[in-house]
Amino acid sequence: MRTGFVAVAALFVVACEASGGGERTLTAFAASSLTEVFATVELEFEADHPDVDVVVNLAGSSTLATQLLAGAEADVFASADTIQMDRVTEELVPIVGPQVMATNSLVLVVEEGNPAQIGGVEDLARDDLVVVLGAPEVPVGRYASELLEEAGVEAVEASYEANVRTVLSKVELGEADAGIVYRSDVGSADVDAIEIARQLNVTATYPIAAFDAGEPDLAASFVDFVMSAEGESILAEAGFTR
Amino acid sequence: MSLSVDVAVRRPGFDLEATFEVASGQVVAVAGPNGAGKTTLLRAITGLERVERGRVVVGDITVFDSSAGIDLETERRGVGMVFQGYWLFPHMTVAENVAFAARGPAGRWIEGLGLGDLADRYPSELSGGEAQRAALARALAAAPRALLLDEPLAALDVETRRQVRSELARHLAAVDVPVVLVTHDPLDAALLADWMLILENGRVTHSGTLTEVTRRPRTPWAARLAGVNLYRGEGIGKGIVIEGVMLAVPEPVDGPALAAIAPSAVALHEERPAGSPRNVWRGEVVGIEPAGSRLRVSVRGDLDIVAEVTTEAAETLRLRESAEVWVAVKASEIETYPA
Amino acid sequence: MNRRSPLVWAVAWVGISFLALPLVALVARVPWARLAEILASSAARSALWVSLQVSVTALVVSVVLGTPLAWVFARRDFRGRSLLRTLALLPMVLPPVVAGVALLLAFGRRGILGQHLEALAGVIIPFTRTAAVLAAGFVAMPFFVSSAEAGFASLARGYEEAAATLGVGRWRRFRRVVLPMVAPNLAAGAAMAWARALGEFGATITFAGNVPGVTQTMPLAVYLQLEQDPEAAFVLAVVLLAISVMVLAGARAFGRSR
Repeated sequence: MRTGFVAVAALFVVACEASGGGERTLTAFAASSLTEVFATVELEFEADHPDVDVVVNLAGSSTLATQLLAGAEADVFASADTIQMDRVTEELVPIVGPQVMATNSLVLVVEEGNPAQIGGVEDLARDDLVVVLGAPEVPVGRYASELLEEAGVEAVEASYEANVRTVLSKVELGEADAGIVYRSDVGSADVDAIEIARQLNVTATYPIAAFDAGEPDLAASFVDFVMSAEGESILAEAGFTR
Repeated sequence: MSLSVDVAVRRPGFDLEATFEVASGQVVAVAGPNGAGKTTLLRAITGLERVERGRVVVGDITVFDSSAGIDLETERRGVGMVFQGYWLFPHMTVAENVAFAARGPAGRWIEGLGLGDLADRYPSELSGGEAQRAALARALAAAPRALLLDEPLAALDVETRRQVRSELARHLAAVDVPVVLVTHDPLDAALLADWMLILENGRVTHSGTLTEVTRRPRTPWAARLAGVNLYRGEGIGKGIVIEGVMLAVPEPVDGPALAAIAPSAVALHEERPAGSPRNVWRGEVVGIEPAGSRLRVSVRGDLDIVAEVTTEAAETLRLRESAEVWVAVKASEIETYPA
Repeated sequence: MNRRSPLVWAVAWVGISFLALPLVALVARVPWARLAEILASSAARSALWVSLQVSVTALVVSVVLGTPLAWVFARRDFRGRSLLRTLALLPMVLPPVVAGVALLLAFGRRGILGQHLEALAGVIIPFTRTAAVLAAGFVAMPFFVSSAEAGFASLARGYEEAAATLGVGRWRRFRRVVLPMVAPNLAAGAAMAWARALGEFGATITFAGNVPGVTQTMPLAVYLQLEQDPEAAFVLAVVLLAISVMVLAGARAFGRSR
């Protein structure tokens, strides 16, 4: 019984170590809307740097900023808006950037097949609809509320979610009739996307910065990679623009 | 209003069958050794125990009849019960307990059972005897059409038991519904009841008055009953006169009274004893019988009496039939009851 | 064995510090100067009101549904009792967000029951006050049931039997004999259930979402304020702490008074 326990513990430790195969770790905090982008970036970067293990922490940009300010160690921070990046750079001095790595725009998503027959953002004022948006401090939520204010639309009793992916999934699951997410989020999700008029739509800017958390050279080269042509094509594939 | 009982209860490893009838105002004691099924019998009458087959009639209402499919819930049978544990509601005062299910004002029951000073106390503050009275008052206040008492004195210490027994006898005499009282103490059976049933191993072995039952005891337990010395006499204050013999008693008693002396309280001596016992008389041994590990000695004399002694004592006294002995009974060992 | 063991005391002190330090830190970091302003803000008042309404409703539901359930568990033996009991107590140990997902799958718009509710009656549960109550009730009810069941089971039957022989019917027996005697257990269970309902987060945010004024309870407000105005979050957190302390103290005082 005791040998069994020791064996399992040993396996556990080995598994933890083996998950990257690397001696060096790079920690990147990235906004949830960058989920797929950073998954690809992680693979490519690790392929170029076999001794590096990239660890990505995904959440709403405001949550990430709070964590960084509370002392979490990250080599790279990629935010979905400049406000959250500014919060961080006020306290922590970056070694590279912030630089704008991508831009994004908003899109209205509805249940597949659009059973509620939603035409545009003005329909979000309908009180027969269940609407989900990002919370005000989450970039996508801030953008959405700017947009709605511009359009003179008030979403009645909307639910304010903690990050953009939760907004998307609630529409995907059919629990909500409509939500506002980034164009890049639509991807292969089971939702229908409705365009938002250009004059109303906002441009979301994604700044990226590198910090000295023990691996300054690695952090800098990661940012360089994202800013390179290869990085640009990964972003473009995911629906972002530079 | 009478109580008619005919029940058969079956449980794994145990079965009980009993048939009897109690008339209004009568007190019948169900006596017997522990485990005989006495409590089960009471619970069967109240409906707290499942009855296999039988019929229970309270007054003119059939509360249970297996052949007719009648089985009234306990609360509708009108059969009151004083449990061995009393089960007074701890969150209510004595007065609230008695009034809880009372038909009519509870005051007369509180006063009638001497609970006036205790009315605002809580059950946890009562002594054993007081709790018993409160439980009885509570049961009587609900105007039952029959009353059952399960070992009413068992929870009391020896000292209290005597006093409470005589009080209980008084209260039961005033109750005019059929009363069934369960006890394992032959003294209770002898002194509280009009007649008795002896229940052993789930079957009734004897039925009748004390005299009838003890005349020819058919089982050892009944024989124990036979050993109780019970006399009728006239109380004259600190003494009681029985067949011309005056016995000093601890409690003053006046008028027609009963006196009970437990066989184990009877001391036998070769010569007239000196010292404290004030009740002393001479007699002749007319019978010696084994009773468990002791001997039961019947003595004829100024007062006929049965004594219970150890075999060693019998040896020392050289007891044999026709031997002359002196009988001594301490006054404190005599229990008296108004007849 | 009255010798004081230094080692035992030392470890005990570590334990106490572990539990007490975060609470002390919370109280210490509250921006007392801004207390009035933050508490007066409509967001704070709205969250507090929602929390009170949701938690009290969830408590009432827990008590009304939970008392008969606890009674049945305590007093009746039937096939499957063991399994049902385990199910009924499961939400106590289930991770709250798992509870939220489960609630979505049952009562959500594509849920087992929820889909029919929408199709037949146009009733949508997620993101409503009802959803918040369901989420809070789901995780809180087992606390009440567990305590109530223990109370009913430990009550000696003799009291009810005696009441029955007095001619008192079932309902009156329950009201005047059983309930007063198990009141401490019920109160303790209710206190714990209410506290749990008040603090519910994971299931609420997943199933009921975060709709200000409707489902944004205090815990949700704290979580989101942390990223917007941390000091406001501290104030709301300390209010929740104060309420919890009062609930605990109240329950203990009630238990002792009996």
